[in-house]
Amino acid sequence: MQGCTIEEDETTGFSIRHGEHSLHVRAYDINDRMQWLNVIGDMRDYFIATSEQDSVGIHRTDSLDQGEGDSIDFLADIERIVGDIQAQSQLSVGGQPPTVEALSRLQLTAAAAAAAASKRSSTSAPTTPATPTTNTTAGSTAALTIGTISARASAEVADNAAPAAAASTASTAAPKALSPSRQARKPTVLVAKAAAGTFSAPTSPTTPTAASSTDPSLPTKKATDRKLSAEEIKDYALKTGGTQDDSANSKNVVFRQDGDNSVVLQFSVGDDGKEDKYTIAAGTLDQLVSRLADENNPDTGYIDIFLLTYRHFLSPAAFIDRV
Amino acid sequence: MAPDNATAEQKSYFDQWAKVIQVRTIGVVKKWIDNYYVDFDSDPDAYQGLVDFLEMAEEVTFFFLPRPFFLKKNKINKIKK
Repeated sequence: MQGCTIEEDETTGFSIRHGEHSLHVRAYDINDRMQWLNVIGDMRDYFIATSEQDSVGIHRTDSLDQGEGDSIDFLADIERIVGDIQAQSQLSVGGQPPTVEALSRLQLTAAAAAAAASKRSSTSAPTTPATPTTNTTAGSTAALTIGTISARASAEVADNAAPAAAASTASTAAPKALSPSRQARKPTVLVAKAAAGTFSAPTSPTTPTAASSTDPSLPTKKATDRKLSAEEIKDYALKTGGTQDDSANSKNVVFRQDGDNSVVLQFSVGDDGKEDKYTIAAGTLDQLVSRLADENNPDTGYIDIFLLTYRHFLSPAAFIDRV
Repeated sequence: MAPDNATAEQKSYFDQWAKVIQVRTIGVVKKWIDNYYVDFDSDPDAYQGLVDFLEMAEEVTFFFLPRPFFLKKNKINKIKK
C-alpha cells in the first residue's frame, strides 16, 4: 500500500505502519502473513471501489484522490476493526492462533460495513456458509505413504501427544520458538482405549462413489490416538524408506483415527524432551486432502510437498473433485 | 450449509471454522494454479473441475476470491449500474 511500511514484530507477528498509525497483525508464519496482506489489499480496493460507485461510505470520498490520505483513513478504520476483533477474549486467549479466524471476521466486518454504507445488496457480504470444502466419502480407507511431510507444531498436537515416550527417543528436530500463548499450553497424555485400525493397508486409492449421510469432517467425536505396535513400527520404518533398525526412532509414531479417516503422525522431540513437531507419514486420501486446509495447523510446507507429489497417488481431476 | 442431521456441537464447530477452511482451500487452489497450471492444461476433466470449483466459490462468497476475481466483480456491478 502506498506510503505504508511493514515492520517485524516478535509479539504480534508484524505491523503495518503509516506515520503515526500502526496496525499490529497477529501472523506467526508466512502463510498467515500473506493472507493478511492479500486481504488488507483487497479490502482497500473494495472500500475505494465502493466509495467511487456510491459516493458514500465509511471512508471520506474526498480523500480518495489525495494519494496517501486514503491510506491513512483506511489504516485507521482497519485498526479499529482489528482492535475490536482482538478484544474478544476467545481470540486472544483461546490458545488457538487467532490470525485466520480474525481474518475471516475482519473480512465479514469490513464487507458488512461497506455493504451497509453502499446500500447495495449485490455487493454485501455473503451470509450463507458453504458446505465443507473437503469431499469426504465413506469407504475410502486406503492408507498412503507419501514420504515425510513436515508439519508445523500445533497446540492440538501438544495436547494429544504422549510426552512420556518422547523423553527417551532421539530426534534431530530442534524445538521451534513458540509464541507465549502456545508455550503456556501444557501437553496432556491421551490414552487410546482401543486399537482403532491397522496402519499397513496400502491399497490402490478408491474413487468416491457416494457421499456419506453424515459429514465426517464435522467432529462427531474426539479423534483417538494410539501408539503403533512393534510390528507396525517395523512396517512403518520399511514403508517410509528406512530399515527395521530404524524402528527405535519410530516410537513416537501415532495412529490417529477420526471416524473413517486416519492419519499416521510421527512426532519429533525438542531439547526439552517434549514433542513439539510432527510429520504426516501416511493417511487416507480424505485426510491428506483435508490437511491442506486444516483449520488448526496451517502449514505451507505440507501444501507445497503435497502439490509436488500428489500425482503419484491421485489424478488432478480426482484431486479437484475432492477439494 | 451444515447437514440437517448435525448436532448442535457440530453446527457450532461448522459456524466457527467454515469461513476459515474456505479461505484456506481457495489459497491452496490458488497456489496450485500458480505453480502447477499444467495439471489443468493437460487434463480437461481437471480444468472443468476447476471451473466448477471457482463458480461455486463465487456463488458462496466472491469477497474471499483473489483480487482479479474480486475487482472483476466490482467492475461488473459498476457496468450494470
